[in-house]
Amino acid sequence: MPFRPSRLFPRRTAAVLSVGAAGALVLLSAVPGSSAPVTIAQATATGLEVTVAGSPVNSDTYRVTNDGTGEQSLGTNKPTVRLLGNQSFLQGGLLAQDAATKVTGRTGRSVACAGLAGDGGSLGAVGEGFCLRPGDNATINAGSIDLSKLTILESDPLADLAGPLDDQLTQQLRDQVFPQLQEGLQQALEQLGLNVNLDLGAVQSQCTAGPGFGRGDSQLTDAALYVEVQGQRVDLLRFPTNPGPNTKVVTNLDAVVDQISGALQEQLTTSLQGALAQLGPVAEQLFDQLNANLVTTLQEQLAPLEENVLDGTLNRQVKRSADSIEVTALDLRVLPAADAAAGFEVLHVVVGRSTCGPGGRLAPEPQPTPTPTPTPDPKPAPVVPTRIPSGLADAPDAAAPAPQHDDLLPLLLVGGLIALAGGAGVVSYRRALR
Amino acid sequence: MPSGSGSGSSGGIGGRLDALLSGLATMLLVVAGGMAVVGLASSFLGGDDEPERTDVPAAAPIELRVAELGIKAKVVPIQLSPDAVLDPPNDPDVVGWWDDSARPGADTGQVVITGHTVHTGGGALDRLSEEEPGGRPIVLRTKAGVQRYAVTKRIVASPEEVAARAEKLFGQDRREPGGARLVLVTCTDWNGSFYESNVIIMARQL
Repeated sequence: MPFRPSRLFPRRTAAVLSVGAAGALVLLSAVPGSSAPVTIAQATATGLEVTVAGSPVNSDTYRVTNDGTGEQSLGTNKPTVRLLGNQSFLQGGLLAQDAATKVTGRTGRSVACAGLAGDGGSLGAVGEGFCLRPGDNATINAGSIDLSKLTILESDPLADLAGPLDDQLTQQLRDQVFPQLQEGLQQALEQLGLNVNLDLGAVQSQCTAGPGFGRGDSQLTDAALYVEVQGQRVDLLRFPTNPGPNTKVVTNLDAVVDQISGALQEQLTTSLQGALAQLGPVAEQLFDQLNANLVTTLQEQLAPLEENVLDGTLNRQVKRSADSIEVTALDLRVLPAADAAAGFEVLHVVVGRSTCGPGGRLAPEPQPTPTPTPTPDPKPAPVVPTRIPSGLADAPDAAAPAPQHDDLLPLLLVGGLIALAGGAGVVSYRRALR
Repeated sequence: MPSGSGSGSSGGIGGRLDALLSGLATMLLVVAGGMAVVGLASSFLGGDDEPERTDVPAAAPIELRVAELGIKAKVVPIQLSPDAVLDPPNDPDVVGWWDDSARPGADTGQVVITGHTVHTGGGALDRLSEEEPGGRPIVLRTKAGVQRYAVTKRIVASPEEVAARAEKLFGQDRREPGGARLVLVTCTDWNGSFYESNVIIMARQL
């Protein structure tokens, strides 16, 4: 039976599909022959990145790559704080992020530097180690503790009171006293809003990578973490200037919990005494019992702040291969435990992140040969010297020791001088004789 | 005339004395003036006084000095060959700094410098094998200032031993609290035909 194209698969459609398939085969067969540019050096630099509630804001990472034909860049290497957009965590300061690549002996190399300094700081060139010199200190608001979320009266303040209360008094406490108490405490908590601040002169990282190596370092000049409680600075941490790689720092807020407790208890006493005054003779007895209950509740509420809530890594170094490295001067994270405790905004601050490498090597120049033979893979670039032939039996003629101009000149001058002095003395002597 | 001759005679001795003193005074004046000129010339040409090291940034070396061994040599960058051989500069008066090693003043890595020892004399590092820990500091002049190093170790190793320990001896992942270590290398152990070993001087940055 002769083949008849069905209505679902008409002849024209078959022809179009055939042409399409043939074209695809031609394209596929051409792909291996096309030579895509290969990156042989690359680096990135990010001055500052802040992630608030999962949304990152950064200084627009500067990225450079080199495929052997020249350096291409993306982003800016002249960042300003304005790049961070409409934010309130950083006012002023000098951001640095720069990177560069070069090709030496057909091998790629890369350098990068990134960080943040206060106003008045100055910038150096990338590739010369650290690139920031500190000026005044900059302050990053690393997060806020929203104490208004504390619920001091969450549990029943009347629980475990010694002696039964009559129904009327209980009702009066619930309807009149506690609402006033709650209002007073709420106001006090809102006024106590705490800011955790990062104070720094300059925080920066730098790296360099080439064939077989990737190295970097970080420097934190005059950097500290502190909290302000009722206008008073309470230092939590003072960072070392030259931390070793991956230095962990963890801190809690126990230094500030005492201050918060003190302020709240003062408010509690005032509110409680005012609210209970209307109850007459039973007020004094009730005050002591209620006060004890409420203080216990307060301490329970603040307890999580005494656990580790701030987690930082200084000079964070990650090596993904022998010829690459990522260095972050300061990586500070507020642990989620703090969020559960008192509405601490989950926040992540990264200052000075530099990455260098991985790199590569340009393939050898193609040799014009009549019959192309498969060329062996280029030998990997040596990492360190394995032989240093530094001895000679005789000095080559060309290298005969030449007189040192700067060593002989003073001797020649003194010799000439003595001759001149002698001559002058003789002339003077003869003249005087005449 | 006696008085005249007398005065002439005494004037003759006095005159000779005056002339002698005049001549000496002139000599001294010329010497004093000349010493001032020589002093000025020396200071312009660069004396041996090194400026105090204040936080000198990392930079390529340009001169090596080991005062107690009389070593003073120009430093030029050199490159590693594809087969991992580090050849010093052809001119034995000049030493070479491996340009993939750390720059003096860097925080990490090692500053690797090598130069020739010549059996008949005339090599920049002929006397390096005499260097021992505890001597005067080794000085490296760089494009940014002066770096000083205190010798901590002297190693003599055969070529096979050097190859086996190459990463440890010259690797750039090293990190020391004081900054990049200086590694000076030349040859030693002349056997009548060739040098059998390398002498390697390790020095920490001051």
